[in-house]
Amino acid sequence: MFERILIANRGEIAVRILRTCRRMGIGAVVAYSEADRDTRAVQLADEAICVGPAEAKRSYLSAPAILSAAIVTGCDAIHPGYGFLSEDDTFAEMTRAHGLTFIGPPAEVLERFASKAGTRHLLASHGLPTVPGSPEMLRDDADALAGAERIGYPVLIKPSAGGGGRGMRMVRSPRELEQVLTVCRSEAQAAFGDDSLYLEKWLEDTRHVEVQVIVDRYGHGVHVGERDCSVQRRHQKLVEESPSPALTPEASEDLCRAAVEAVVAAGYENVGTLEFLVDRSGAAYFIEINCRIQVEHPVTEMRSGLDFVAEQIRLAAGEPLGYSQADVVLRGHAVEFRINAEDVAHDFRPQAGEVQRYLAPGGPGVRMDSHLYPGYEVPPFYDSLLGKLVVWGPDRSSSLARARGVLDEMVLEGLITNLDFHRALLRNETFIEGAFTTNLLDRIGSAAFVSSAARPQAVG
Amino acid sequence: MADRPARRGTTPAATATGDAAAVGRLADELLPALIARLEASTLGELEVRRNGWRVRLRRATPLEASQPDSAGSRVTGRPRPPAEQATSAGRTAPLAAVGPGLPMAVADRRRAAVSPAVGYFSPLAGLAAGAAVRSGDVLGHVDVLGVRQDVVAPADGVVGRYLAEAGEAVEYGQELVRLEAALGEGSVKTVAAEA
Repeated sequence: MFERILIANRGEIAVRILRTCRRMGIGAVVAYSEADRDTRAVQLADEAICVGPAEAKRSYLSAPAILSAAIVTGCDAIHPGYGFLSEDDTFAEMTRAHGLTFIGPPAEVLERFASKAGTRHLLASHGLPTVPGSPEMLRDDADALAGAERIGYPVLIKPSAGGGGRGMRMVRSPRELEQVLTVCRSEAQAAFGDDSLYLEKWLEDTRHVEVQVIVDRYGHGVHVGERDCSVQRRHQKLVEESPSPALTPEASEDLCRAAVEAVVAAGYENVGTLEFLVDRSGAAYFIEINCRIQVEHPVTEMRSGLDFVAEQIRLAAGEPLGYSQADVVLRGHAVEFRINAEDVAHDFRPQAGEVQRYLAPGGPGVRMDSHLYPGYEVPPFYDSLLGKLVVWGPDRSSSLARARGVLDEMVLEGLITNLDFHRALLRNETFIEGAFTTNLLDRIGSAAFVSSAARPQAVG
Repeated sequence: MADRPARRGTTPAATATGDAAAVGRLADELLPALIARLEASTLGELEVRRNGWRVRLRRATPLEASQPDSAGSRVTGRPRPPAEQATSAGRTAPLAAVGPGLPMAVADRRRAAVSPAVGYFSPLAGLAAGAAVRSGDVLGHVDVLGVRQDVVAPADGVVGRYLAEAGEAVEYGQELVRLEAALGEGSVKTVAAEA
């Protein structure tokens, strides 16, 4: 086992990793940027070392700075947390070359799963369904029509060279497809200098469901159930829960088993998450894998009693998994609320400033993962996550009832947060019914959502 | 800072032709010199008046003033002894330019060459205390995974004390070489100590 781990991250996850190091009796060194000198993890660490300026590229994202910090502080392993260098195979390789261990999948595993398209191909070959699409670029109109017929309308026309949704077009019929193909080609040519197009099935009103897996290097793997992350705005998750209200226990079991079998067969290693889109019919399509600890991992920890950071550390040290699927028991329902420093009324604009008052909620089944303390100055350079409130209950309605109480009880003053958004969400019919889809907030507008929910509350 | 030559009273006044020139000189020469002087003394406050403007410097906090070199001993290549692990206050050293200490902390960095990266420090061979250096001169190196990064003088001055030893593990922004600056021009008077 490792003696001393460098925590190459910040905010709540640095504190989270530190807690597990303490419990396991492993020394913890926190690497921090100049802007994070006063952060909680720095105060708690056995040792803290400044690795660079506020700019992430020169601190948390700088592989030489992080690695050098680990070496000069006598660490034998590096935990990258999430984001930053957590899925960087080059960094993982550098770490190994210097005789240290990267806590996560080994470099060659990260590399194998680095490309989204490549991973979809790989896992499709091991039995996971992916979003149906044309296997190759479209040759001509006839090819496009035949392809669309096979996939089923509506279909999405996507430029090969595009990205981030640019140049995409959705069509609902063969006639519409014929009409826009020429336009799409010339648009793609003009925008990207490449007019090749391909088709993908258009999935309407999807939910985001992900499966947590743990796999050791000896080919043993388990799943730890799914999480539903459908409450999003512009692909940013705000609330995550487990189990998914959209899946029956049987559907969940099928999806989770297929996921873990596929990644074990494909040679995955360590803790990971497979993301799926689930359409209205309940069909799941694999979209990508996250080769790291996730922000929302506590949801699953609350249901399973496992410590995923400890599992990451154990497996990276070469220990075998040591238990089987039958040993993984998932109890009740858990839900996580991401408490962000952002102004919901003004397009979720990120906020910075001093935390003047902070009082975390508590009670049975309540967990608050945060790096806040009164007087802490939230810097403007990084993401706006202030903490995660995770609430467990024997079933969904009781955990939501419990969450309603503790969210009302929570005190966080000094800067604008999304607490009111969460309070409104817990009184929203669509959410209570478990019928949220990923595009719902963007469609109705978040500010309108909060104010419409706040009104009955004010008179009631 | 007993090695610093003591200077007292006034220095010859130069003719400032405009505000811009005065402000430039203030930032580049006078402030660093005044800060050096304040630090070398037991005074709590220093004030300079000239023509239509004045500058007053005050020590940030008694804690910071009493531990000017705490940043130099924060990183070690070995695990700390348990007794030391319990403390955390010492790790938030006054390098950060935050709060009331801001002007002082910023100017303070101008008179010490700081580490450009995390790594092992080596001073420039042959460079010793008392040598006059220009802004940008290399005073040593920090070895980052075998790549040497320059430690450069942030301003013209005279090499003072080395704050890290050869081969010592240093962190980003850590003060490595103190620079003594010549006093700027202007009439300087000390006011009663507050601290």
